[in-house]
Amino acid sequence: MNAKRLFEILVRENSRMLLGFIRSIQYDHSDPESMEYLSQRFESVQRLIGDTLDEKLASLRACIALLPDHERQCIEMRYSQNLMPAELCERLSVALETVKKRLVRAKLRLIDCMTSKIENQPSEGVSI
Amino acid sequence: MTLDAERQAELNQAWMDSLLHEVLNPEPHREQAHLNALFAKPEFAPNESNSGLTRKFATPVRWIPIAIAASIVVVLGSWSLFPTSSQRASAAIARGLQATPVAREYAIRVVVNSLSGADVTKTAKLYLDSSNRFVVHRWGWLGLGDVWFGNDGNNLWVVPRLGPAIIGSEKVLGGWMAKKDSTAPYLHIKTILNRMEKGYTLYMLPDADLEGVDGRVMCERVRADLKVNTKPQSTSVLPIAIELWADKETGVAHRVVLNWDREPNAFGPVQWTIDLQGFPALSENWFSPYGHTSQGQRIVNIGTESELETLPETNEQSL
Repeated sequence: MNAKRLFEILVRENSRMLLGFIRSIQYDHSDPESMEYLSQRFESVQRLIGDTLDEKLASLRACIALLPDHERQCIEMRYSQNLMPAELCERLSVALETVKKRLVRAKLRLIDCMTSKIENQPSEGVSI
Repeated sequence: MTLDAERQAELNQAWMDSLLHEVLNPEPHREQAHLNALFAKPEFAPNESNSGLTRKFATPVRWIPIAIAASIVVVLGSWSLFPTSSQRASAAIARGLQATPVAREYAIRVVVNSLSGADVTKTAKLYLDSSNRFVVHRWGWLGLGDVWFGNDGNNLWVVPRLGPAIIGSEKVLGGWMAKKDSTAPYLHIKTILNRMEKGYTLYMLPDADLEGVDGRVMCERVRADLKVNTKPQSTSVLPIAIELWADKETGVAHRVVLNWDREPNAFGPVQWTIDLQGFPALSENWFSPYGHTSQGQRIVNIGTESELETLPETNEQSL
């Protein structure tokens, strides 16, 4: 691996995480405390095993696989096809409220699942 | 943190929403555009409200400046090198260095002026020994994790939380970083010395005592003021004044204060205070990257300058 490739990895991995942070802030008109909280949440992802963000997020893929089918379907269509809830309810032939509930419940399950995986990581590195 | 449970739940939803975007729809083509924008404006002022998001990106805060602090402390820690040092002081310092414990730990407190005009305070740790080796453990960027960097006596190195650690010679890695910011070739200690000698006017201040590791310590004080004929672009990078408090008996630096002259709303460091914390017993490999990598983290040695010629322009911002 040459230096160029190496730095590209560093830039890409770190910037993706930063993009994720910014995206969540954009959603959420945050105050400083909220931003600090979000920052900690993103930092916690760093504790997952893996060199790259993709590797670290394998945990989230595993959590998605554990969702009930109807919730997983909603989540995958919402994010991989970028469909809004109104479009989802048409595609799935269910009520809008049902779609919204499925998305919220699925995300709650995923938050719990990811939090559990992060908390159960063996400690690593050197602390001061 | 005083967020109530409801607010935390909302933020957790935002966090998960963002991670799901990354996992299920990373949008590589759009990502490149975002990256380009980030590279141009990489630092996010953390204490601002969300209004006017684009304003929250500010001038890059690279990790190079904190290496300035490390280098300055290394240099000032043995300030007999300064032309104004007396022979008596030099002798005391020489004695002191022989008696000085191998490693010293400093707390760095950095006050940064944000775009909103509010000050943001950040902290870092600096470890150094009498062989000019140093390690800095500093904050990362908004969840990107903390960063270790240092000099093991032969090479500079950086250990980020994500991706491989990098080792490079001072000539290669340090030279490359200096080239990216021609006003701040700080990583070479001799360069610091030259700059200090040429760019600053040095004064001796009256002795004073301060609270040291083991009680009050009488210190000699040196003040360095940036010369008035310094190029304007350098004044935003270089501190206008550096004040050193060094133990009168041993010459060990107990406190270094660096002040910048900055407009109220101009982003950048305003003051750094570097205080001696003690003389810790550190592990054998503390000054090498191997002491700070996580399990399985790769370490890559950047060997040649030709490799660095092909690096992207904005690499240092990822560190």
